[in-house]
Amino acid sequence: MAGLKKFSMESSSNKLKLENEEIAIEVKDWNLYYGSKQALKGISMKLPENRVTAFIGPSGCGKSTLLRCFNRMNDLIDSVSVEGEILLHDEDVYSKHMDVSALRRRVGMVFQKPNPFPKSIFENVCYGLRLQNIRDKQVLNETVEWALRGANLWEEVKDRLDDNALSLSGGQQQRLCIARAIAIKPEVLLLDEPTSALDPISTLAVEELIFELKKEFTILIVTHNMQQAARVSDYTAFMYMGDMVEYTDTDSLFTNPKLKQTEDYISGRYG
Amino acid sequence: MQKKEFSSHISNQLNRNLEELFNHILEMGGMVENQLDMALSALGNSDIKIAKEVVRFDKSINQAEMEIDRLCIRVLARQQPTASDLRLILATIRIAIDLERMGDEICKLAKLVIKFHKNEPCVCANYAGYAELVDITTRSREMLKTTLNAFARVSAEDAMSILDQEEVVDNVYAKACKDVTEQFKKNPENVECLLEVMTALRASERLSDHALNIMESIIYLVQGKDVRNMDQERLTKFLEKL
Repeated sequence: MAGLKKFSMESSSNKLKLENEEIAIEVKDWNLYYGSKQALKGISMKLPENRVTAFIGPSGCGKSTLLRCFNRMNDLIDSVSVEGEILLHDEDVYSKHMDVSALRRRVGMVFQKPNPFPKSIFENVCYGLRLQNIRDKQVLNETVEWALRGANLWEEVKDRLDDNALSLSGGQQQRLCIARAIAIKPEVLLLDEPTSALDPISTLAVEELIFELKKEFTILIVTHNMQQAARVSDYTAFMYMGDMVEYTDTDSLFTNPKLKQTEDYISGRYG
Repeated sequence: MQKKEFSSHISNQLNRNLEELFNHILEMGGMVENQLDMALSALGNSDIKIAKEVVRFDKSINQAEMEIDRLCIRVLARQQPTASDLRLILATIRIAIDLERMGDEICKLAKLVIKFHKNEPCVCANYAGYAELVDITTRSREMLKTTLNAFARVSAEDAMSILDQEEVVDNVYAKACKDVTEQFKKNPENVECLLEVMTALRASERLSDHALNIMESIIYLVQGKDVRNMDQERLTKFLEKL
């Protein structure tokens, strides 16, 4: 008689641990002020490479503000002042010598509302490449196809690349914006509420895309939707009034948070 | 619902997790089947070595239940399954509990062999109820096989046959209990051994109960109907309509 075989289930036991990860961005004692009002308070965290990290928290907690620090979008607001350090692969993002345009090529961003340019689908995707003076038709064609495939849009638009991007549905437009963002092959992709303007099916399509994209990019996502954070992210950070309350792997945060404040927020007992 | 529905979500992650859960139940079920086969072999051959292995193996079955629970919790917390997916999670949790308890009952059978084996055939084998013990255990083994096949096919078609087999087991068990009770009276000096046989008989009968529970979970999964605690007549009518 054959012997007894042990259970083979291992896949769900290999829990993620931040200390085992390669780090893409390190935030050190980061403070941000809008005039005299402090919006981010002494934030320190390490954001792992090729993972999806979600930022959750109530409106005004500072999650979008923090996200916009990673590619210095807050520079566009006059009253903003910052303290501390943000390192992108050990390079100081806020150094005087940092070329902000180059930084934004390395750290791409997709916004809440799809914002395609009133141009063709093809031109939208290769817009960033043209800014980099890439003219080679073959390179452009290949990159557009790669980015649209990456954004899971290629099959839907491959026969109408010359159509105006505004003719696409909301969900397709948002995936086009993601294609445009990844076409320049950034290291990090910032997603600020990327599905809040989309229907549930398009939302799931974008979430699935996020899961696939992390193989090539480090993804940071801000979302109001806790369930979305639970579905798509590997790590989750819960913020409240400018503080980083709890930051850990998503499994732990959603099944056994360490702090009562986090538990109250994710279980809808807040306030 | 059909098995292919587990892999038809937009979210591949959810597809993978549901498929994973499904396969884990089949794997755990296979483990319990093997454990039961070995317990039957230990009973039939009074083999203490196999019986000890059966008892040791129970740890792995307990572990499997805990791992399946962990995955269910993760899927519930992170993917918010609904409709048939949610039923799969609930059915999976219940089936894992029943399989784990089957493992415990199988251990009781193996312990009977360990307790009475003295480098010679188990003395209990000569007493009333022992033949029925092997009979009930064999029938329960068949019931488990039928339910696991039903789970693999995501089909409640065989539910009726499980119900019939359960009735046979109940009758054999009732007769065996009667015989053992008679023996208590006739041979009170064998009380220790007879009590052990009684305990093992109860364990083997519980195996068939758990197999029936698993079938009820499969009906819930497939039909969305909770048939637990339904009286025999209503349940039969419901199953005939399937």
